[in-house]
Amino acid sequence: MKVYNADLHLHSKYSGATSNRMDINTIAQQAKLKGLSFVGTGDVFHPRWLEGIKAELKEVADGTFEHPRYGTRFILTVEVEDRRRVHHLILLPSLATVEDMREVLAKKSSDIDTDGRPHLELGAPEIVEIAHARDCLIGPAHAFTPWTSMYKEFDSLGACYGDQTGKINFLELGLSADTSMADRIAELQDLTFLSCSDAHSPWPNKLGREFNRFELAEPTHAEIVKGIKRENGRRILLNVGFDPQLGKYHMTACSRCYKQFTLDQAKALRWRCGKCGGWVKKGVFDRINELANYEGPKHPPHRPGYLRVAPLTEVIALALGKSDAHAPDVQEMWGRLVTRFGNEISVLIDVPTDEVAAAAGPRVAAIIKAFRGQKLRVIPGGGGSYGRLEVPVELAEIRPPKAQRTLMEFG
Amino acid sequence: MVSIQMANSKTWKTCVGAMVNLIEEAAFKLTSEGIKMKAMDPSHVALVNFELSSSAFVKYDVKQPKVLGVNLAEMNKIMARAKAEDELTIELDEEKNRLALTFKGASTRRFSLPLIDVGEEELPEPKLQFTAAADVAAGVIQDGLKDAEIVGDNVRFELSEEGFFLFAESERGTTELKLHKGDQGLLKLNVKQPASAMFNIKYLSDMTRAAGGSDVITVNLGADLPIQLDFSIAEGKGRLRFLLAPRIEAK
Repeated sequence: MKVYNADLHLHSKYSGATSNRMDINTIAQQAKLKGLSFVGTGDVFHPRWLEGIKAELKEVADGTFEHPRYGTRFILTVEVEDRRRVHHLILLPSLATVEDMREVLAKKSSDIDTDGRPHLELGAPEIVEIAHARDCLIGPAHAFTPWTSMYKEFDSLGACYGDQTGKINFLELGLSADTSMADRIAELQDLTFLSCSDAHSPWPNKLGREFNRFELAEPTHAEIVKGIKRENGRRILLNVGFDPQLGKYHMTACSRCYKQFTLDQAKALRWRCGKCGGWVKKGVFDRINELANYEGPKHPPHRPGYLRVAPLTEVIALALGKSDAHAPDVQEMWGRLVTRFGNEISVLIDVPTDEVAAAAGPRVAAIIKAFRGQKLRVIPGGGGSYGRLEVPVELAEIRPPKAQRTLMEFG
Repeated sequence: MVSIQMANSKTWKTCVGAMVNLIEEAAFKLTSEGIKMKAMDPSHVALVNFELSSSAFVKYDVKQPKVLGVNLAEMNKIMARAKAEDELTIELDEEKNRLALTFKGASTRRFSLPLIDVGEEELPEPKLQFTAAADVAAGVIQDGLKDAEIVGDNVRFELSEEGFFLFAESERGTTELKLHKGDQGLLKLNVKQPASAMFNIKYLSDMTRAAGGSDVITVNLGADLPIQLDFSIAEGKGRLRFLLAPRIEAK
């Protein structure tokens, strides 16, 4: 058995609000730099995306496709939206299934030819029935978020999936939740949790920002399925993802100005922001508190650990005193570290900090060390604004002085 | 009771225009001697120190010391409507807690501005040991800043016994302005020790906006210290002083 990192939920350039660099070549290249063995194709019902998959990837095992240059493996995935605007993630076994299922769903969708994430005029149980009959795996995507998730619409799996509930194979946690939060809900005990990026751009602070570390006999779709179903010793060893506070829907907050509210305040304001009048959206933190059966997490024996991470570019940006993870010197430093140590995940988690210091200087090494030791402060996100990392006061000396001085420094 | 009048609107208009991009709110302190205002920008990078003697006014009726808190952006919008030659009257309506501004020219126009609560605490002003000073024609500095803006965001000021110099450089190119001792634009030079420091151009452009091209700006400088820019207003009856913290790139 070997270990493989897999990010199974992302979108192509054919979904709404995505980067036009979400092409197969760039995804394959960036996945390798990130340290991912597998990615989901996403958007597999989109005709042009499917054409690209067939043309640019080579099928190396049933339902398993490989990029010829970078070796990144792809499995066929799609996210669909049901008639209640709930999103579901589907893993498909073959191109034939894609064609067959697409034909069935096209009758219930007006945008399946144009949007990588199609809206279906079907309920969740009907979608599960269609998917399950074709040996697909299916489960709720980013299950707790306030706009398009199962728990924004329903209070239980059964209410969403009805008589098809038993056919649900997994639940995707989303960026604003982790295993400890989700394991306060009794009905989720038997489900496998997936941690995936839902990336809309291929850059390293998005693609693979959450992933699953699988233990498999070989890197194929069939083994991934076994891993999710926890069959024959195949399993997910580790969910790796954001500290949930970094997610953009963690706290209850205004979706226009991002002011955060307690649940009671939001209810008293009738979900209208007292500052700007925008809609207040319920955070995953509060939603899980409403749904929770247990005060604290109650992990079933099969549940893997959850490792909280942040994108390396954001950790570097913090070390260099930059507000933008896309700043040229942040990207340059990211490239230097990833080239030196092989991939981002190694730098973030595994490489000894004195080796990081030799490659990137003491400041970056000190911030990575602080990050690993959970010494960085997390300012929680909400309402659609991501949380952010901050260097705590006691570690301030490892932050570079800002070039622009203040008059207070000349007292 | 506050009722003050200036023969024209130019001084008040240009001063508010120079301050408005640096500070949002201002507490004008009025006494029988005149008006003072000192404020720092929200990021504590720049400080404005404004003084205008009562003698600059054709009428100056301030019975008791008074602090008037105003939103400078709102006041600037009103002052933008004044013509430079309009006579300006500022009166306090204590009952409504508003300030009335009247422009008298071809017609009489009246505006009213709500007063706001602004902290009155005394601002600490850094004690700086400048080592070099020069009186420079404002137009020269304004030109140098516009030149430097072409290549970057920052400009280096240097004062030495040879004169006054501005340099800017980036990957886009370099610019330099040299004003040697004896040149027309350099009216006075006093250098104990050569001094040099780098500053953000945007702040400097905002600060020097109030000066006319032929006005004189007194520049005080030290090695990597804040810069102090002084210029006289209302024909010497007032002064606008700016302090700006330097940029010091990490080694």
